[in-house]
Amino acid sequence: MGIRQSARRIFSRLTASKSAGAQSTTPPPDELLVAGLRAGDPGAFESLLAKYEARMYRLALGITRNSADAEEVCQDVFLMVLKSIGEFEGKSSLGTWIYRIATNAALMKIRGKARSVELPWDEVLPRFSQEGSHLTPVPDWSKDPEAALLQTELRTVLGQALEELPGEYRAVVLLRDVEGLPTDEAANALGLTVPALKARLHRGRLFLRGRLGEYAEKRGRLTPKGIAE
Amino acid sequence: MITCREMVDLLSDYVDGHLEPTLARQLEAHLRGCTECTAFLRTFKETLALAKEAACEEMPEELKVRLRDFLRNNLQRGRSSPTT
Repeated sequence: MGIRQSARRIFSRLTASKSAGAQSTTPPPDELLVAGLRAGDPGAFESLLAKYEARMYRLALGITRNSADAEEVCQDVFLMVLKSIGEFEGKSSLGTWIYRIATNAALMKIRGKARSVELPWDEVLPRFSQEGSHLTPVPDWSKDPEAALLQTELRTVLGQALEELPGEYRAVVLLRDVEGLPTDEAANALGLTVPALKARLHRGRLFLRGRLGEYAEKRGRLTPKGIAE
Repeated sequence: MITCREMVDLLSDYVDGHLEPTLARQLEAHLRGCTECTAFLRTFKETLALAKEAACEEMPEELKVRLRDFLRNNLQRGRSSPTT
């Protein structure tokens, strides 16, 4: 009890002096946050949520593609974090640990709901000749100053393509390309080796690119130099 | 000299900065002479930028409130509570 009170006092003092001095909402370092959570400090509880709730919601929504499911995932994740903070060994960063819990919870949520349809990889992955050259022309539909409308549409198409990806691929793309986790941390969060994560990420990215290319091409706005009205 | 197929295979490592310098230089040399692969690289990078934008949803404020209520209620039922 003495230790808990002491940790709570230290956490409160440090976080209070930080915010008073810098007048910022700089979150406490992970070690301090963990100590505060273990001590049951209300300030640590708030700091944890302030630092991670938006990220976990974004990740959960990205994986489940459903706001009600994402809310339940967030509840499960933070309840588990608060209840098992005593078991956190610090082998990975606190953030990676929480991302791992969140990814597992979100994937569990969609398990059974996911369609068992095989993805049409061949339709969207690039094709090459025997010599290894592109078999078909590669239109450039990338950013064009006059193509704001197409960009908006492409964002929608990308959302649909993300939904089409199996959860395991979607989670990899979200952790790396949306959350910006380094490769080794994303691999750790997903329980994958780095080569396995890289392979899955590359295939997922190629799939998304392929779907966007299909849409841009169907829209018939392509010229060899880019997108024409 | 690397082929278009190899260029595509190496693309994620290249844009992530994980490619060893010699291989990166070979890939760049290929890009300088291949309009198809240049277009592929540009659209690949654009895909990553769009993915970031498409998946960046804000957490609604009411959901934040419900999350705190949920956690406080659950933890109060347990042995320790982080409530004030």
